[in-house]
Amino acid sequence: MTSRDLIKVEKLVKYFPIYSRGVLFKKEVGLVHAVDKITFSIRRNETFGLVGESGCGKTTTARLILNLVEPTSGKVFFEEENVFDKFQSANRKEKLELRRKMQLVFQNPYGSLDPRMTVFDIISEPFVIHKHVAKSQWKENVYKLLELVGLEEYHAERYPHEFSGGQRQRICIARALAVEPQFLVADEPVSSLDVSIRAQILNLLGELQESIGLTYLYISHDLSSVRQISHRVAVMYLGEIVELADTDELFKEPLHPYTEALIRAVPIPDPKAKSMKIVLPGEVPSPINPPPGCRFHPRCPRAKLLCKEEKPGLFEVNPNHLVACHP
Amino acid sequence: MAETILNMEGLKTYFFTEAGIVKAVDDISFHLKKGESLGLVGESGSGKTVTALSVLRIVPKPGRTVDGKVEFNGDDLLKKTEQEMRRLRGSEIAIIFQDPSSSLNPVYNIEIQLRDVIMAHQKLDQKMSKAKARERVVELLETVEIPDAETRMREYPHQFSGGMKQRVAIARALALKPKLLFADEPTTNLDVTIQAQVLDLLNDLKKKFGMSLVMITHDMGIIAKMTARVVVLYAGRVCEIAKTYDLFERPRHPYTEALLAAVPRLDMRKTLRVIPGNIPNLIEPPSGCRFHPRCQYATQVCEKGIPVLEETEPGHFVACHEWQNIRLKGEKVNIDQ
Repeated sequence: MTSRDLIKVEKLVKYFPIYSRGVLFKKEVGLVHAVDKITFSIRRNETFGLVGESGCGKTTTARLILNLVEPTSGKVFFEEENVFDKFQSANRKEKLELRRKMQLVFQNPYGSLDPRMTVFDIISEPFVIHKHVAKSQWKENVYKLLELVGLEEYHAERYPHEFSGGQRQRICIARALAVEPQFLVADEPVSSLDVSIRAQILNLLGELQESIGLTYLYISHDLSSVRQISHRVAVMYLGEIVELADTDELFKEPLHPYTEALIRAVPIPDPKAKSMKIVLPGEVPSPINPPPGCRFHPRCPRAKLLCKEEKPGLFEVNPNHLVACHP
Repeated sequence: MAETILNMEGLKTYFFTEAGIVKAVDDISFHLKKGESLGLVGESGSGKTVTALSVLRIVPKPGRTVDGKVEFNGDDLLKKTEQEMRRLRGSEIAIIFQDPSSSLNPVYNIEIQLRDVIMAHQKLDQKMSKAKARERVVELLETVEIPDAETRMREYPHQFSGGMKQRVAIARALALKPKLLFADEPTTNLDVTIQAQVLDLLNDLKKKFGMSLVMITHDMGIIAKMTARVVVLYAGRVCEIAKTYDLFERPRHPYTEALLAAVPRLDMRKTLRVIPGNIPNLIEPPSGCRFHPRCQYATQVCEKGIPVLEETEPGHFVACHEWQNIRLKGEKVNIDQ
């Protein structure tokens, strides 16, 4: 039996300690509240968008799900299996098996490809590690992957520096797909690309989802691209999810004042669009000492006394629409 | 009719590298009226930044402006001596760069950096005292809405957040009340909510000081919000010049159309149209129209002849051989919410 959810995240917490330079021992002087008790689930075959400004914990969330950093507390389930436990206890073979199911595409395609390896080496490296493809099949598989991401066979013999940013990102996607994953985390995959190239990569991700049935966690600060590609969206602020809803509903009727401000802050490419902007005062506070109560209250145009004192829970206000804001 | 403050004709700035001559800006002409906001749009390598640097004559080596005319209030800047240019930079024409962390000096505090700009441009006989310059710095920081200016000006750039640093950079650019301001992707490194703050600030200050603004960006949203007229650049050449409204509603150049169709929008979900291929290499740019290898309307004429700017309607110019034969669709505008 397979459930609807591929990934389940339960009360996930990650605090990074800050140390001062002590005389003999490091002294812990504070904690960065990078991710603070977030709960959500990602359904099979959907694109789950995660938006927020820099430092709100988007990338840390992704790294926690992939178990690239250890959580302070909380659980992540992949197909009902506890990811953290599995990586703690399982033998190498089982670990690799789980790794094969989830992959990551990074933001910067310039930094995430080894300049000394040819494209063939880069894409076939997963075969070396996971040994799921016979050596005689490597070439065929690499060519198939290149075709899948819209590159040509002759590209296999080239080095990363011979490619443009968009093509490099295609190589990164091909490498991630080499292990036939079910789940792909795309961490700002188009932010470092030119406008005309972004559409290519966004469309490619959409096509791949249809043809091989991938599930995505799409992380971005660019709301327009999130709207374009995601089925459901979660908005993060200072390590917490403040709103979670179906994409169209979220963008049409944002319920959290932060979501609303975030959406209105994006200039729309239409000179006639009425600007009904709410300019938020101030900046995102430090996650070392997050404000008490609702973390958004110092910047919130609708803040009440209650907001300063009590932290709002994330509740379902409309069907499938969760908001953390005092009514 | 307002006066023309900047008039550029046939500007060519080339970079003489070992690999060959990079024609970063190749025959660009446009003008700017007093008090106008002009957008320069294009992708990386289209020559937006080099155009701005050429006007200020601060093109880094091995780049050199080889031909053209840049008239500022009627005087050709390319004919001025270096000393005359130094007097103009900052006081008449200023620029804000993309990355405020690298355009501010990390070893001096904000006060010293701003005071330097103010004092360097004083004439000898009316040299300002330090105390007076300091007052002016406080005043400037208050104009760009930095709270608690008097204490914060003693801090160093690393103590400021990205948005605040950009405000300091704006304050420095405005220190001498320039007539013309280039803003080179001023908000690309900032978060959306901070971007909104900085754009608002720029708009207010432009009105307050009666400046002309050249906004350099690749973000069509910023163009729509901030500018009245747009110049679209591709691979070092001008594709299209039009009023912002007209450009969005009736693009005449296939590149403009494709660029608009390739940008996802927040207010609706649409099918993204892909521009095939990549941005051309500028050492050996494509012959004829530089966009022809990626253009779906390209014909044989486009491979050979270089298109010139033609006026399609008053104030709307396009450089395309085929503009009369193709019908392009603009963005769906005027959505009533």
